[in-house]
Amino acid sequence: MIVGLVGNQNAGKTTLFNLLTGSNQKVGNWPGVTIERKEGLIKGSNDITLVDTPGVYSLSPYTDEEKVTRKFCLTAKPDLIINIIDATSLERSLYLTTQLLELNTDVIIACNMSDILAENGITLDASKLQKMLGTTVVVISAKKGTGINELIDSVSHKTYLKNPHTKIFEEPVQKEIDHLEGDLNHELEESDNPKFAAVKLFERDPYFQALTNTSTEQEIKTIEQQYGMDAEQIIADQRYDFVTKIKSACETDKDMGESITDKLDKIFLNKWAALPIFVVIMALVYFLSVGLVGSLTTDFMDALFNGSTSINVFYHGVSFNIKGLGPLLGDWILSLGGSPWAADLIQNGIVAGVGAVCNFIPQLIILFLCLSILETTGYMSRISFFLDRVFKRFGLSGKSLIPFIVGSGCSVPAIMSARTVEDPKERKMTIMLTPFIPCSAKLPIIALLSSVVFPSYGWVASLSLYLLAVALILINALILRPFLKSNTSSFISELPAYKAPSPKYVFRDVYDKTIAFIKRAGTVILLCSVVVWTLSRFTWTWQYVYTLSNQNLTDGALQSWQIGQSMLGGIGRVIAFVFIPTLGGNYSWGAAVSALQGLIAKEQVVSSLSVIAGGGKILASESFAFFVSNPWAAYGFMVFNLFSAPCFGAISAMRKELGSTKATLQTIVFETTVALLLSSVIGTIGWASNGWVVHGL
Amino acid sequence: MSEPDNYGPRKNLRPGEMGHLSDLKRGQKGVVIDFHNDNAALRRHLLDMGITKGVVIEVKKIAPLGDPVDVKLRGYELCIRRVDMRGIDIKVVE
Repeated sequence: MIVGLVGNQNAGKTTLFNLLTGSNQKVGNWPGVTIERKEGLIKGSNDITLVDTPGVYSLSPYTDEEKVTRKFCLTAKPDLIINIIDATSLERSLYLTTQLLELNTDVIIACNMSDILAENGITLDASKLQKMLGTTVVVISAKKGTGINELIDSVSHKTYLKNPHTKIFEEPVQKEIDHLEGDLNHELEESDNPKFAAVKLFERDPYFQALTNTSTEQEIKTIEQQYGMDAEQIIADQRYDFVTKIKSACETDKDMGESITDKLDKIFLNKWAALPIFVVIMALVYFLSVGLVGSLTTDFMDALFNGSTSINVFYHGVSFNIKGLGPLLGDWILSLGGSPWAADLIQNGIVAGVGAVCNFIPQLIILFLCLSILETTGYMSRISFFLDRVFKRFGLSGKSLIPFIVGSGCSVPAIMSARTVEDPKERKMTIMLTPFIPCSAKLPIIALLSSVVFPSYGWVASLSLYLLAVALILINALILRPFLKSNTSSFISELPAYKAPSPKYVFRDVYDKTIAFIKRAGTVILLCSVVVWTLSRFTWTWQYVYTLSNQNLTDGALQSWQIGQSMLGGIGRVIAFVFIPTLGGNYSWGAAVSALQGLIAKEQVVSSLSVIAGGGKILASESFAFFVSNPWAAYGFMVFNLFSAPCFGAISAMRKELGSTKATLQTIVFETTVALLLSSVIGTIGWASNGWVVHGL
Repeated sequence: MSEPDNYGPRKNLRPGEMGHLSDLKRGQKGVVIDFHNDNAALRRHLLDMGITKGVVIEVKKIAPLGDPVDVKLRGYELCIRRVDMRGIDIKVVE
């Protein structure tokens, strides 16, 4: 048995889906969290599949994700539809219900948000609602978990009412539709939903017109003249008339005055305060993650992996004598009689490579936490509401803001969430520009190097990069706009009521994202670290580089020279020329090959730097000391890594959403060019201040 | 498509007077008389959202930059751009 879960955006479908199936799909407080259908078995059953669908207001779709729902309802032939409605906006919810009841499928109404009816001054007579609609109504609260067992019982025992196919239109319209349906019954299968098709035919829907030879243009015209409206208007009008009647019979409203949401919006959408509040909130996100938590934990985490005698806590040196996991394992291997290269592989290849990325887990947790709170409180929709006017000027929609904010976590879901942007051209631009937003995997690069640019105020550098990203998006939107000029641009959205974030879901969201990051560190990054270690420790003739000698050099300089003789050094030296301006006049093969590895995963850049540095402290090593002496180089390197082609994961998401390999390649080349140009400009300032000397050639 | 420079309400409409939804100030209500939009899909979308003849719409919140606008109708709130509000003819009710 297939059961579909269908309802308006933000009606609580996914929350109910999670309750009914016991799964943990992502929920949020903004329209469009679910963009693809998700399936799960209803708890306690082994043959009832529940399908969660993206939210729709009508079965006439406007966006790609809404088409998913219409396709499901019309062609997947569900045995039952659970229509979740928001009891606090009954009229708009039931409009969709009137369409679902035209399908050849039974419908249960799950009347959600019953827990907040009282505070909204609403009383609802559910049995009357059931009587008037002629189909089963179950009152639930997905948030509090009430009414869920009744709903499951009704589904699994099939005690719900059959679809009554109530006639809702006025006499002349209904007569014409019945007539059309009669004609269609000869041409269409029962499962092709002839009732629904008849209404669509009345509305002159071209898709349904193509299905039949029945011509009724004359009759429709007569009715249109009679009402003084066109057919689409007549249908919408009479659906709403039917719904309004039901509402006034079943629901009473009491004016509760200004709601908490209205009061909060007076602050968050205040003419003068809105923009400063937004900037402060975004600054706070970076201050908390990079600044506060970063300064507290980065050194400590590094010491755990690579050992240390003292660490910086809040910019103060604290004695902290620890051997570290890498050195412990290295010494252990040597004590077992292992060869020096084996100890080096474990200590400076694997532990340092993976550790370089894991150092930043505490900061990422805070970043994920902040983003999750932004998503669940309802504030994110306000941002898209108040910046729509600005974004419209640049050929984007206010809704593009949602992918941009989700993109601070990861570009892949962000690119997918661009589906909520209605206009195809605005959507295309949003997809192309989303990777410019620094994602969480870029945070290690930022956190590592921003301390060089603004010592003690690393988070300011991070914030400046975020602002730079926004500026880049707007400038590039202007460049792309003439090619992708839109003429169907619109902004139709809703401001969801503010909600206190549910600790359970926030925890779940942060946990899932953090685990995904750790998994990547333990798989992709680990594998890459081994490859990078191998390529950076052996010459083309398969000699271990640390056995090479050079009388002129000692210590760090010798080590740096030795690694430079490796295969990786050879490869890197070919491409290092490109990065001379970016790196402020430094010819660094290590930085060049590391930047290249950002294609695999952005955090791999830091991991690679760490392995090439010989393990552990990147900025203290001879190879990368130039970042400290020339902050412009550090900033240029960050800019390149942040704004160049995204990782393969994001590229394939982009390919899928753009639906074109050519457009995807163009985007990647475009992004990389922009990144290289901008980073070269920044680095060149540092180069000029160095008197145009090229180091390291 | 040319965009108007002045996004705010240009008229001072009193109850009983006719105008466009975009002419209403915050807190004012109007009943929809007629509704047109050059973009067929968008028009359909707005019909689906409940903007039909006779419905009462109240201007609730205006974005800090003057556009878009949050309006209340049929017991819920909808955000819409001023450009599209100009296609909605109303009679002011209060």
